[in-house]
Amino acid sequence: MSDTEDAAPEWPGGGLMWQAILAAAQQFVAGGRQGAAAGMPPGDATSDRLALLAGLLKSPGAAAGTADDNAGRLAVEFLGQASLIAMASGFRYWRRLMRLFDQHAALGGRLGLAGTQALSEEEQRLLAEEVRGLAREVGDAASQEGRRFALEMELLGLTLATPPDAPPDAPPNNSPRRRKRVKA
Amino acid sequence: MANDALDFSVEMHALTTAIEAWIGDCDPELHEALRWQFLAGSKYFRPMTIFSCRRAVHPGATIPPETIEAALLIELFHNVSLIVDDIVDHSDARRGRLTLHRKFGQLHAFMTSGYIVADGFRRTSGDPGLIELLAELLQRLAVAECMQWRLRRRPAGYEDWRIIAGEDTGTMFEVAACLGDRTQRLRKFGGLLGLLYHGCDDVADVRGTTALGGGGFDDLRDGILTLPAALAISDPAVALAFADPSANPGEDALPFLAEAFRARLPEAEARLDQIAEEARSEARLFADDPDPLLALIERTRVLSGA
Repeated sequence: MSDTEDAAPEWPGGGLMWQAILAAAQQFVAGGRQGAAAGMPPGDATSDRLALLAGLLKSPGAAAGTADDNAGRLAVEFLGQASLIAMASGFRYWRRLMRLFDQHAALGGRLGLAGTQALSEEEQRLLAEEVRGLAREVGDAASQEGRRFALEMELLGLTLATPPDAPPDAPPNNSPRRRKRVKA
Repeated sequence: MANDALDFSVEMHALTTAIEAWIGDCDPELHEALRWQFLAGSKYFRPMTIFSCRRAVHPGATIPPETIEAALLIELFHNVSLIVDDIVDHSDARRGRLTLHRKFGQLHAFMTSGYIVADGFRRTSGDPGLIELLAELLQRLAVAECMQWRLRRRPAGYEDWRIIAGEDTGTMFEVAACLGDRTQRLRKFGGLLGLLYHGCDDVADVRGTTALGGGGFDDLRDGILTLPAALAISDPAVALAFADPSANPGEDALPFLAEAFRARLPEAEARLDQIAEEARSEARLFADDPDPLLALIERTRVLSGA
């Protein structure tokens, strides 16, 4: 990692990711402004918040005091929570994988034996069953964690789309599901 | 917790009233058959799944009329699958009385099932989400039944059983969960609950109970891959008898298989415990209030008769 604040990330994938986020945010804000010109109420709170966020993403250094305080807080909260959710999700998945491979630790030994000695029909069948079971559990773990991550990010996104002073049942925040707090 | 969380007496009353009203609206030619099929002690487990999922994502809210209607629809389509199953399995009795085709004849039973499907889709009032889910249900059930028949007498195992049961009963409960929460968040939970229900049914059949109305002997005779069968046929001798019961004319294979399946019941119960835990994990992660779903799992789990 570079020691200067404004330097591009060393991992090229990260840079591409940020470019994509910026482009999407700017496109969304531009779309919102066109919508306003076409009859949407001016000063729409969601668009304003996204515009501030997009500006901050473009110049991250501006968050430290020179930009609007609310926007800075918003950006820090949003990016911080998103990072926490992503890290927690990755950590949970890896921990679960470790646990799964621990539970099936004996399988490795049996697979090794299968390569060196003949197994009975029953042993072969049991071995194949256990390998299939492990494969299913690994897939299920990824699927469940993916759905959990998607839900948490969706809920976080909804907090961004909801003005802070909106009543709890105001659209688009009028479903109990959307009122659920994000668990990082 | 369990009793309160699954208290749907008001909704169940509304459902039975809706079913009676629906029968009243059907052609009088079919009234007697429809009453015979629908008003004979159903456990309404699938409607209960719909109500539980609804309550799990809308805690404290009243179950709305459209959810009662969804429960009616799942009950209609579930009964279609029962009518066809009973014909195919040559079953004489269901819920302690004659099956529809035994009482009214095959033609009447087939035509009644077609009528129910058509009227079920008509009642969706063109709701695309509802149509999509109900179409998915019928299509996946059709494929699952064909797959189950094709794979009979094969030396398959537990993982194969999960696939078959997941597509069969699992689909029904998956769709029920989706009809309840309408967000797909509880789809996987529904599939696991269906898998659990199917496995408990298999185990109860081998135990000789008739709690779920199934027929263990039919499955044994037809070489259907039940949960105890999937576990027992890891033994080559059992696999051989399962694949071809007439291979050893001197021995009666069916009692031998029944005993082998019974011997695997403790392992089957352990597998059911694992599936129940998977379902609990889904409920805790994806429901705003998991209590109704956890109670539903407990109510399902005891059906194995352990």
